[in-house]
Amino acid sequence: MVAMQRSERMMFQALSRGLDALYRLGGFLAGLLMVLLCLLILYSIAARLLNLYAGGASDVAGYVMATSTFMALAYTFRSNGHIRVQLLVQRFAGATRRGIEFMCLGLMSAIAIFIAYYMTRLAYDSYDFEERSQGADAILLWIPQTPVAIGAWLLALAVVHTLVQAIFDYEAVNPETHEGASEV
Amino acid sequence: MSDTVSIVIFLGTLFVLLGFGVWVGAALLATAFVGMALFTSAPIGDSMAVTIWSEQSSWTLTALPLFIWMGEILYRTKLSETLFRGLAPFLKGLPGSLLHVNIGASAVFAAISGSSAATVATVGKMSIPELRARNYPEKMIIGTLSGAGTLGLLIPPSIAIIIFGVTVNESISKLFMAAMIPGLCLALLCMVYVAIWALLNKRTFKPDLRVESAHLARRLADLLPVLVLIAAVIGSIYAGVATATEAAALGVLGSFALSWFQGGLTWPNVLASVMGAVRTTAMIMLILMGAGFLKLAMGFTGIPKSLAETIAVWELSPLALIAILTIFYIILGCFLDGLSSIVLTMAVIEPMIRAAGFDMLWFGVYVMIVVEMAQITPPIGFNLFVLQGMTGKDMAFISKASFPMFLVMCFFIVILVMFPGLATWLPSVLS
Repeated sequence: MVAMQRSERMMFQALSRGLDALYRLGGFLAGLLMVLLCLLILYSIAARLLNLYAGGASDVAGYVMATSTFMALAYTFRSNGHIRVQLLVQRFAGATRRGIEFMCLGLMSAIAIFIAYYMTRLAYDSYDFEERSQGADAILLWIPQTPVAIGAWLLALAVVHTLVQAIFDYEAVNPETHEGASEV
Repeated sequence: MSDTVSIVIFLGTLFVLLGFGVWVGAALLATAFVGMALFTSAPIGDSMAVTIWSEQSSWTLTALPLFIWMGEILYRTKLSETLFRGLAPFLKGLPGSLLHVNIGASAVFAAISGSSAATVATVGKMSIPELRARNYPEKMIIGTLSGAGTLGLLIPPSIAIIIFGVTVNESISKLFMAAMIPGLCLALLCMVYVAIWALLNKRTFKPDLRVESAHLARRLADLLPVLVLIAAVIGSIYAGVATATEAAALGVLGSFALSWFQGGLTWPNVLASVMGAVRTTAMIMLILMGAGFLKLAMGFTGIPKSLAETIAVWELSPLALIAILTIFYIILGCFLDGLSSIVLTMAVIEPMIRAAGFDMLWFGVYVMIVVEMAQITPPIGFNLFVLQGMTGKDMAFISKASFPMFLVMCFFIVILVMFPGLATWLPSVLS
């Protein structure tokens, strides 16, 4: 472990807790959006029965789902919700395991940043070309794509956060003592 | 660089990343990145963003979070108790007695929840202590539970089927129709196994057969809302009045009603169900993102196409092909969870399966069964993990107890190959 002053350590942990609250907020937002998705679909069913207007509801449902998913990625990552194959790495312990964990987190950081960058570019291009959805709603696509990009950045932040934590405070993220993912 | 070297690098990346414990979704994304870099000059990042966006915002996929949520709500109700008390008086007369409750309750719960692990956990919560108290042998309690629990993957609505449907672009409603009869047959087959086992072990199998059977009408009344919910969700899809997504939304509404009816609808429960569903959804979606992009990259590598051609040249009979695939899936299932093996393999073998002339609905049912087997094969089998947590027994014991069920599933694959109509008949009648 890299030596750290006690005060530094406490500051770091406070920052870490603050960030975790942010991811949790993203998780709550994702939850709200999922409730909204359900209500939206129930509305479209009711609308069909009562002959009300519900044009584009299926497109909007897709956007709501995408936003919900991306908002939840960081929260899920921090609460060990994403699955990984532990079969081989379980055989290693201590320093070796720690090295592997650094590599995994480093790679994951690169991937998360890559996704975030290109989801942002997608949103920007849609904004630049004023692209609209093909459906009856004809929504400007950058509107739902922006929160998706934000969610992707939130994931990138969470992964880099975990990587930094692994470097300075390995015990906080040690996979040997932290429980693995849940499953379908 | 020659193509062979490129392919070795590409596939090597996949295995190394998965093996070293990189998160599955990210490992698939990184592999796809390598594949794109090696085999095409198309812009990698932009292709990825478009692929992710179009899949993640697609209407078909909206059924997924809602069915997951529905399962999460029901998991937090008193359903396990209701199912046990409701089914026990009716099944106790069969040879094997209350062991059949494990299977029956799993089949019913599978029909309202799409998850195998949730099925095991919900049914086991009630039945493990009850059966233990009545002196049922531990290995049969665990075996029936882990085996029948996998029905959650097959009996609609099933999360795994939605994922399969999205991956290969087949109608989810039709897949739900195709899986129903095989699901029920497999449940029946499990019960037959239990009955045979009970008859063979008549001397040593002496459980306490007493079951509370007073207030039977009241129990049935408790079961009724569950059955209505199943009929509404599955029936609306089969009748063609609702899409899978709409049925899922109605299912969420129905689960809330059921939960309220049973008096289990509290704020902490609702919040926990939402957050649980959000986490599971995000986990699956990350894998789907990786799988979608990997499928695109796979197309550029030419692996699926040459695999399809090779198989065509060999002129394997469909039977031989299925036999090979089954062995392949069983081995894969030892190392990967069911979900990852579905998305990973379909990216490679879909063209081959289509070229060999398999009905995709039938093949979907087949894949569900081999993936069910993966759920109970050690060392990676999620039903085994769930049961380990619930019973405190070690992995070896649980795997051994589940092995007969594994054989039952193997046997069912043979039946499914001999009678493909089990899967294809219902969709052809209903649509």
